[in-house]
Amino acid sequence: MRWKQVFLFLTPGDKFLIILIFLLGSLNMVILPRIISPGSYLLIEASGKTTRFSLNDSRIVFISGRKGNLELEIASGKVRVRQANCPNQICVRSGWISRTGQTIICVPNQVILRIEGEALSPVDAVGY
Amino acid sequence: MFNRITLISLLIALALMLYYVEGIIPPLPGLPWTRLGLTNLVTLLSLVFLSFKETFFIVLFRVVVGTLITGIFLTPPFWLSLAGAVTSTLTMGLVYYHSSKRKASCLIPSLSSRKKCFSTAASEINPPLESENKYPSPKKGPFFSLVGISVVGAVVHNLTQLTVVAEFYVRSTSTFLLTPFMIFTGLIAGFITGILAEFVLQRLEKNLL
Repeated sequence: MRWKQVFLFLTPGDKFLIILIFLLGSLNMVILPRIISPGSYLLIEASGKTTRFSLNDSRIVFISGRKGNLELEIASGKVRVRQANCPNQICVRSGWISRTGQTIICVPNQVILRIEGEALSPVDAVGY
Repeated sequence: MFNRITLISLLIALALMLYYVEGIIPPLPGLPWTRLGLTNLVTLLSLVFLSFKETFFIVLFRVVVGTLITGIFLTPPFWLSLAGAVTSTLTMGLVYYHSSKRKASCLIPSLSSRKKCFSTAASEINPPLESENKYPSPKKGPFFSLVGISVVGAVVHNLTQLTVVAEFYVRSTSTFLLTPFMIFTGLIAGFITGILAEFVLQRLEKNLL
């Protein structure tokens, strides 16, 4: 197979199409990140209430769980539990989470932290 | 010599084999979900040799039986592959019948109707008297070769799968950040399969006629 032969197959329409799709991809690469922001907000479920925090600004949040306080650290799109007074310290050892769908769960304090993106549809869950 | 049903079943068998072989090949490092889409080759060839209905049937059959073989029937990958296959086949058929119907569909005379074959033959587009006597006129071929059709099909396939994933499985708009990645991989994979299809067609033309 000679490589020159490959390009003999291409009609002018093909070349036009390939360039068009390439431009479309590059355009998407530039425009899409401006429209869509990744991993938008943090959802905290503690003591029966759910609260939301934006992940963009960095700050420290205190939550009161069942056994004591949790100290959350939010920094530029990621979040972790810095201090907690639960026996196993699993939530602290979970480290930073940043992507949509990731969770930190502290069982003794009954606290769930989850990162959520913008929801597309009103459906809660899909079973399969 | 050729029977339509024989050719259909032959193409389905070929598609299934390609589907299975493609599953064995390990993915490229860094590009975990990409496949070459070798089964697209069969779709392109059946678009050339057979009618659109038969192509659609081949594709549906391939998706169902292929996923039964690999054991992912009615699981999320199956729905993804079904959605991608249906939309890409529809698009490729549309593009093919509107812009690049080619002489190769007359390659096996018993398969294509006489009228369809000879109305699109080159002799009618370029009257032989003028073109033979004077300087050779520029070739008036199809607007897209199989490469263009394959690229369109691959890109549409990828974008459909991305939309299905975003709508039903991830349910987050941030999935669409992958759009340029999907477009570029579709472009490359479609180009390769299109070139392969052209080579196959060239060989068939040489050996069958």
